[in-house]
Amino acid sequence: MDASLIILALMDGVSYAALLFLVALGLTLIFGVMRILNIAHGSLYAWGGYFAATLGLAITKFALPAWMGLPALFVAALVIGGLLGSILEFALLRRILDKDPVLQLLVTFAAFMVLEDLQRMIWGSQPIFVSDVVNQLGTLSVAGVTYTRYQLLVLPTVAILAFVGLRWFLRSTALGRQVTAVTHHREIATAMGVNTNRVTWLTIAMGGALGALGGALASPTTSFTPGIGADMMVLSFAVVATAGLGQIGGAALAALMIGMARSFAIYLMPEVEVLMPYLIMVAVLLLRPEGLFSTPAARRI
Amino acid sequence: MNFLPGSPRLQLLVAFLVAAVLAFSLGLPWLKTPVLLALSNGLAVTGVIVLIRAGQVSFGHAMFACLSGYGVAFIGRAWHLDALLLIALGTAAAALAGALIGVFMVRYRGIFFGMLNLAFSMVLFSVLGKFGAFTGGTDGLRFDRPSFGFVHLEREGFETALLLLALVLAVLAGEVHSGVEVRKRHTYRLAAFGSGDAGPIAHVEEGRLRLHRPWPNSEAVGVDRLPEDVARWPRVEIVTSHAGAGAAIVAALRQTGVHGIVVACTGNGSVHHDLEVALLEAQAAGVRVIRSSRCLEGAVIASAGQVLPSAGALTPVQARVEMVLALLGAGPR
Repeated sequence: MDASLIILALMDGVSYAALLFLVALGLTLIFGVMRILNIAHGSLYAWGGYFAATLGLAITKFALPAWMGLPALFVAALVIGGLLGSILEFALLRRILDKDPVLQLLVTFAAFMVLEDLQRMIWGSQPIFVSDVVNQLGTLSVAGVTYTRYQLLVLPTVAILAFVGLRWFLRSTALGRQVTAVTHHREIATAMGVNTNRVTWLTIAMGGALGALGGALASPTTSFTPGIGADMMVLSFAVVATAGLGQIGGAALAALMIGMARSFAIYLMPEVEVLMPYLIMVAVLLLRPEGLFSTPAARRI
Repeated sequence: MNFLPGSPRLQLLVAFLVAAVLAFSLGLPWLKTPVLLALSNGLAVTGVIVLIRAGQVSFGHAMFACLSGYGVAFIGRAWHLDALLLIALGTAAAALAGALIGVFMVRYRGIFFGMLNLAFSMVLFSVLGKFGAFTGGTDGLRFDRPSFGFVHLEREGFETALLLLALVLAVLAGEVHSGVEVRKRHTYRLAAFGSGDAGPIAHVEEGRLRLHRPWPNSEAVGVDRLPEDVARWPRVEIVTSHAGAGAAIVAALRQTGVHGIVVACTGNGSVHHDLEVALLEAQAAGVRVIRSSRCLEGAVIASAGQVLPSAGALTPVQARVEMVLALLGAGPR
């Protein structure tokens, strides 16, 4: 493997890890607050991507200014993620908070199937791909390797901003502290006067928007087809399991590990590419059965 | 409100049995496929339910269905075993894999358990894809339809047999027949088998076997010596003796180089005179000839003065199979 391939693999890994991190961040945030593993999160990724692609097509169709392409990705994510997240929270998640974890998994899985079919009804089964944003931003050369600015600069920057912003929000704002309080103990937070319903709704909407943002940002470089939500959901589950449930910093590291391993596998051993996330997860869970960054918790009896 | 008698579980079971009986007795393909799928997938889902009862969710449970399926295919391709044995071996292979994976998985709970199961199934999926030459890749593995309970069946019969494997104790009133004596006595009725004068070897009652006589015991015929290419099998034809039968059919068969002829005779092995003359000529010319009866039950009792040998209690079709094997040097005759 020569130097240019290593650089290419590094850049691929970083841009892929950024997307993976955004989706996993939403998933782990929702789990942290609600203790529900939301399988429907994969659908939010797919819907975000499809909706962003639709907006991109609309910009071209109605001859709107080209610069609107990039902001449209964020608008698509906020609208779809916030909307679907809120619907999910009001219609389902709120009602299964105190139910058996297996039932929660099955209910969110059912929601995933419904959303997947709705998505197929709306956008059909033909692949959708709108790459205008990537073309507008052009390319840049790093050590002789040409790469798109969008993947090398925009995606990692958004991921880092999401990470830093979320940490700042959780630690430094009153609302963020309330979220953290609910994460630690819902009942005690309620007793202390925190409006847990509002906090929960806000978290789901934020988590949903992060998942949809992953999809929206992936749409200019990935062709969206039915089933893409399931693939991303499984991968983000692998990231969350590797990191440890509810671990935001851990998710960043796990996404980077998995993203890098995957991109290097593509260049070195293409046949194990699909396997890499799972091999890393197995290796990590062998050493730390609760994930990389989990802290030992007393089990409630 | 429950308008039907019995618990919902019983009603569901009865509905399923009725669907199965209708599908297979009336030969309704649109109902057959769902019934077979419900049966096989239902068994797989039972495994998931057992896990859920234990408080665990697996995202990769289908790998065990895959393991037993590939197990059956690999073993079935290597050795010509009976379907019942193949299914048992495939299930055992999957159970062994489950036990080995279980040693590792026992430490994990919740999402970690579910995702690790998925990881194992993805590894399996990759391995199966990687060694495509060995596993058939996306084309999968094919092998000749095995015998079922040591009886060779066409596709339709085989599907029915698979269903019966699950339902046999309930629907066939648990009769066990000997391979030599068993006859299909009805064209479409589900309880269509009988053993004539001999009766069933055993009855299955409340899961227990009541044996009426000793199990039949004989040498293995050696089906594995049968060439895979049907064109290389010895040609054995069945000729029926009936009013107006003549020599023409035997002459035609001899011209095409037939190796053996089974005569489906009336009653206790009576052959039309003109046909018999032609058959004796064929026998003298080296064609193997044997008499069997068109009657549903009973054996052709060899008597003095009969020059053509008797097939005993075998039906013409059974006698034909035996002669093919005998001509291949695999049988006792």
